[in-house]
Amino acid sequence: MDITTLFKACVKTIRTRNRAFGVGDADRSRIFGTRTQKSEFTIRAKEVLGQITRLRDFLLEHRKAYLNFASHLSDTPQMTDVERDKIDLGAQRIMNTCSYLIQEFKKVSQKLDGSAQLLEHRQAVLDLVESYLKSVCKIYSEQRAIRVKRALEIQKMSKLETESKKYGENFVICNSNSEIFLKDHKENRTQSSHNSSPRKVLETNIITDKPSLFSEDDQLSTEEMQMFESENAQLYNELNSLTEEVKQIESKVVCIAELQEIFTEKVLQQDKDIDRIASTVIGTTENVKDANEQIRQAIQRNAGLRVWILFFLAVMSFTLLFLDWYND
Amino acid sequence: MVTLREKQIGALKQMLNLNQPQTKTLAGEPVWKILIYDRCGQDIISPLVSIKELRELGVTLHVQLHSDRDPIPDVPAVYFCLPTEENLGRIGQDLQNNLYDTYHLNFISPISRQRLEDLAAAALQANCVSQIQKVFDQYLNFISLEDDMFILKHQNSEAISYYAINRGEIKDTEMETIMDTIVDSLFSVFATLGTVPVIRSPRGNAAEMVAEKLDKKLRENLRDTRNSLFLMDAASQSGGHFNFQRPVLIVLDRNVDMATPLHHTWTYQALAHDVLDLTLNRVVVEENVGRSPAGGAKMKTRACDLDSRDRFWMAHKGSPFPTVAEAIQEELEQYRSSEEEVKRLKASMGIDNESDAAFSMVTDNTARLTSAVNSLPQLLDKKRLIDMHTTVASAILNYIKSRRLDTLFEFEEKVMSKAANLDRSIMELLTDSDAGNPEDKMRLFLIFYICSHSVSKDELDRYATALQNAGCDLQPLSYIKRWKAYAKMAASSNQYVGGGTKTVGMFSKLVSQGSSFVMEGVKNLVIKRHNLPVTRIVDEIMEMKTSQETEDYRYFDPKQLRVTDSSQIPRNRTPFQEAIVFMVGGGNYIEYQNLVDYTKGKAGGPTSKRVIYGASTLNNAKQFLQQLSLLGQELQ
Repeated sequence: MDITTLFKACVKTIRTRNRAFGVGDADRSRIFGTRTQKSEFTIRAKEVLGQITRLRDFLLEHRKAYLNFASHLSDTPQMTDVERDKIDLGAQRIMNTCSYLIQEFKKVSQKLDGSAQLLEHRQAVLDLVESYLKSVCKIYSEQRAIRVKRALEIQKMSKLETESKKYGENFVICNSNSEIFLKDHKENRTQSSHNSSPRKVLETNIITDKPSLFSEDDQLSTEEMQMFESENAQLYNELNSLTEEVKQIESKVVCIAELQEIFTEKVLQQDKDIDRIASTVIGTTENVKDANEQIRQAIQRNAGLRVWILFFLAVMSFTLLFLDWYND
Repeated sequence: MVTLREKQIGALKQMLNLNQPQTKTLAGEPVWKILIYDRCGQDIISPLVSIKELRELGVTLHVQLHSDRDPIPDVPAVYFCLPTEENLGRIGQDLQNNLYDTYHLNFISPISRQRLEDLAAAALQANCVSQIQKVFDQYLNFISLEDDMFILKHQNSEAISYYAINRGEIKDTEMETIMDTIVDSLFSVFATLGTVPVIRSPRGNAAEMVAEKLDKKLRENLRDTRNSLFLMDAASQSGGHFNFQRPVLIVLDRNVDMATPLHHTWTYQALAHDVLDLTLNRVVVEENVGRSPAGGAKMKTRACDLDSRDRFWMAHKGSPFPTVAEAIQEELEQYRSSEEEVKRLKASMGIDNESDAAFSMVTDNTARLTSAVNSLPQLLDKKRLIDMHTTVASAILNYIKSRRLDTLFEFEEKVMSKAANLDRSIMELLTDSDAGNPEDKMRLFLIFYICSHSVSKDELDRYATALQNAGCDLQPLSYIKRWKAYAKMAASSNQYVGGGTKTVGMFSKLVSQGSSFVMEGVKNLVIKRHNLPVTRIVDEIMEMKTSQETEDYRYFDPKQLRVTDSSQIPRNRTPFQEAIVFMVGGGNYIEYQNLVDYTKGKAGGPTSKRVIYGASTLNNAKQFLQQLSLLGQELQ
């Protein structure tokens, strides 16, 4: 239950009471209360945060238009592919800048010092900013993935063959896991192959059409027509299979890149561990060396002691013998 | 159906979000803040919100109120503490030292007007009234351990323990303060739940006092329409769940059933509490890590969290121990088979790399590899859970074997169920040197004494000498003698019937022989379903059955305008669907488990019941025995 208003009322009553009693009110000169200077760390952190928030708002604003692929059917805002590419490029640039800023920030703040709690707080602040950036990047990559998936589905549907359905399925599965590491030039290649195949089909159609236009008196013989038709079909099939293969290779490379990413992460982790182990081992060898040193010294001292004891015993026994001989 | 625990978590999260409404954006901008709590606040937060979740909510630092704290500029600080003089003094100091940027003060129980004025004076003196953004009364003065179980205090629990309430030289003022603490916490429970219950309690003991005070407090709050907490307006109801039925609050005193806290148990959660001291859903286990150079076995302690995020624990916390052991085996087998699959995948990948015949093979393998890599974190998590449960269960098993808890449990069940044939007389068990340590023997004897009708004087003396030879402390016995004299033994003569155990047959023993838990020498006991006295009372009151015991229970209804005569209980009421059972003087997991079983037994029918179990503190048998012995000491 919110009792802030009650609290403020109490403050007011006490203030009037103090004034009535004549107790000095040091607060009089300040109307707005004390303004503490914000530390540099906070200012920088807020800047980075502001940038990421701007990126997020930008992405969310255009999200609806970006994801609207049935633009010819509805009145919701539309976006051409060129615009989408621009958005992708811009967003990636901003993300890179932001992550670079965060890294810089981390390095700088490691040099600053403060109390233990303050350092812990700063570390946690940086972690939070990083995870925020990651979640915004996730929005972006999801959008991207949907777009790519959609483009591939359209491509699949525009094909006339049915035998490559199995490949298509795997392709879609792989692409649903695609992440930010889809490179732009792959995108362009898909785009261009989209454009190239319809164009080529169009060309072959034009080629087949041309003879019929020129030979207005010359009827096409059935053999020639058949030959041309079969040539058409062959070319068509060839080109389609080529594009198919290219697409498959692309998808596989995407999958491999994902897995590579995971593996590099793990390897980096291991690397850190190995470094740690190496330093520990060095420390251990140092310790062992010192230990050996000390053991050697101990043995020496032991040996020295033994010598002295023997000497002492010998001297004593000779003294005894001497005394015995002397007293006699 | 939002449970009490979820409501408490919701309130905490809202508080940590600086009491601003939580918007559901796709990726929220983090607002970092610092959380400061006192011991009571720490107990409340630690079973509910993990440190990782705190981080996700934006809490960068969490510290105790009474520790040395360094100034951290430009961040809001969220305080979560009780409004005691000490805490307020410390807050005043912080304001003076200007440690943080803005302050959000949340008091666990409502702050009195006087103290609020003191706080305002301190703020004025430190010139930082503008920095105090919000002051809240949170009404969260209880600890939710499970979805349907809560206790009132953990760290300062001696103030309201059974010993404190039943002490000989207790003053009226002290009693009043204890009752006030309990009533305050119960009031917070109902404020969080948002319902006004019907209260029933037995006559003539601490439970009645608590019920009266709570009734008065609820009534006052309802009349105060300006800031009543129980306004049910549709807009604020989350999810639109309208509970037209009011729950019934049954306040019971520990004296109604003294045998259950001393009972040896056989279910996983209750055993963990009894043997390993499960506190706030956390267990500290010693495990054997290896041999140290000195030649002794090196023990390392490990803290395990056993709470609702652990799938295995939620499924098995109420099962008898042998079932748990089998279940761990099963999980281990499952894990090993999934590990095998991953390894096979690796092998098949290696073979296929050489032949580059068909594309489809490779795509299949990449897909499989992706799914295997994605499921790796799950597998690792599963392995960690299995490891943890194996450690906990083997620790418990060691204790069971060394103290022969299984024989003790069997015997106690027989005693409590008045089975006519006690094949081993209690004398033998008391003189048997490896059937438990002296405390176990004392517990066994006390249960026997409580449940048997009459024990003649010289038998009692013989037993007393036997116990003394075994090294037991006899003071609890004198207290129990007095309690038995006061309690109406006629009514409770058949309290525990229906219990008992049966050993599982040979076949199932052979089946479970392959388990790595070598349970030889530990009997595979299965508990027959029976109702403890608490469960029986709850059942009678909820179903409006009339019985000799509950007939003269008092009846309070804070919503009614006049103070009704409590002897007139309206008989034309439908049975209650929801009940909250509160045990003044200490509860335990055995009763909780029994209530859960009862609810499960009733579920699925036309009337499904929800029972929430609450206690002022949780005592395991050892702590309860200590309190009894202190009480016994006073008698002499």
